[in-house]
Amino acid sequence: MEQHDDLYYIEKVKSGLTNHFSYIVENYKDVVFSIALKVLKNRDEAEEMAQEVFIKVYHSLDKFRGSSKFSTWLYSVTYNHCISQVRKKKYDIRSLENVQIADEDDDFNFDGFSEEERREILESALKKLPEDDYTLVILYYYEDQTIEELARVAKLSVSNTKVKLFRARKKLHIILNEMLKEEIDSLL
Amino acid sequence: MKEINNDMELKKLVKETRLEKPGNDFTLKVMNRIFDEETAKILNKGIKVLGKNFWVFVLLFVALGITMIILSATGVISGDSSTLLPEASKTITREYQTIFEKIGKVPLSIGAILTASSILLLIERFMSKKNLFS
Repeated sequence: MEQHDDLYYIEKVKSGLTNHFSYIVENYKDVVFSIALKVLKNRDEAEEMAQEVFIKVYHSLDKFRGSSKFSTWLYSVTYNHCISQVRKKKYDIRSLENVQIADEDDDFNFDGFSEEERREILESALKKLPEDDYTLVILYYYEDQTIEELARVAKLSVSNTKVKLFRARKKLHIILNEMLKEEIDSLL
Repeated sequence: MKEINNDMELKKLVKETRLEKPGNDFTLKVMNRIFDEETAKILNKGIKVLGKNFWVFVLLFVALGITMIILSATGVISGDSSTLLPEASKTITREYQTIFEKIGKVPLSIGAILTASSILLLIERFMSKKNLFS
C-alpha cells in the first residue's frame, strides 16, 4: 500500500473524507495511549482519554496550519489534555522534587543481561518516571521530537525544556542503576 | 561491557522498548464516535430551536387578537349580541365569569413565577441547542 505523510491524510479529512482520520489514529494511538496511561494509571480511563484526544484533534484540524509538525501539535494537545484532566480530577502528580538527583556518573552497564531482559528493565524504569518526565523522554527519544518541538508541546522555553529533559534523563539513569543493582543482587 | 553514556545509545535503547497499546478496536471506537457526532451535527442543523407547534400557537393567538380587534371596531362584539341567543349567551357569560374569578384568585407572585419559569426553560432550550456541538 502506498505510504503518505500526515499532511496528506489531514488534507483528505479537511476535504470531507472523514474516514482518512483513521490513518492518523492508527499511527499515533500507541504514543497517545501510553502518555494517557502513564497519567491515569488505569487502562479503561486512559483509553477513554486517548479517544477524547483524537476527537479533540479531529474537531480542531481546521486550526492546524502546518507551521509545525502535525505530531508536535498532536502531542501538545495530548500533553495539555492529560495535564488538565489530571488537575480536574486531582490525580496525584508526583513532583519533580520527589526524586533526588545526585550528581553522579550517567554510566551503567547491562553486562550479563539479554536483549529481552534489557528491554524489560528499561520499560519498567520508564514506568517509574514521573508523568511529565516520561512524556518528555518518550517524545524525545522514542518519537524523535526536537528540543524546540518539546518546548512547544510542554509550553516551556527551550532552555527550561533542556533542563527538564536533562533532569528526566538523570532520573531515568538513577532508576535504572537501582533496578540493575537489585537484579544483580537477586542473582548473587 | 555495554555502557550507556550518551544520548544516541539511550535513544537506541528507548526505541527498543514497546509502548503500551490500547485495545484492538481503539481506532474503530474513535471513528465511530466521530461519525456519530458528525451525524448528530447534520441532524441538528435541520432542527429549529423553536418547534413548528410553538409558531402555530403564536399564529393562532395573533390571529385571535386581530379578529377580536376587528370585531370590536366594527361593533359585532358588543352587549347587543345577547339579544340573538339570550339563554346561550347567559350560560357562556356565567362560565367566563367563573373562569376569570378563579384566575383572579391566583396570586400575582405565582403568575410571575410561572412566567419566569417559562422564560428560563425557553432560554435553557435555546442555549443547549446552541452549545450542543461547540
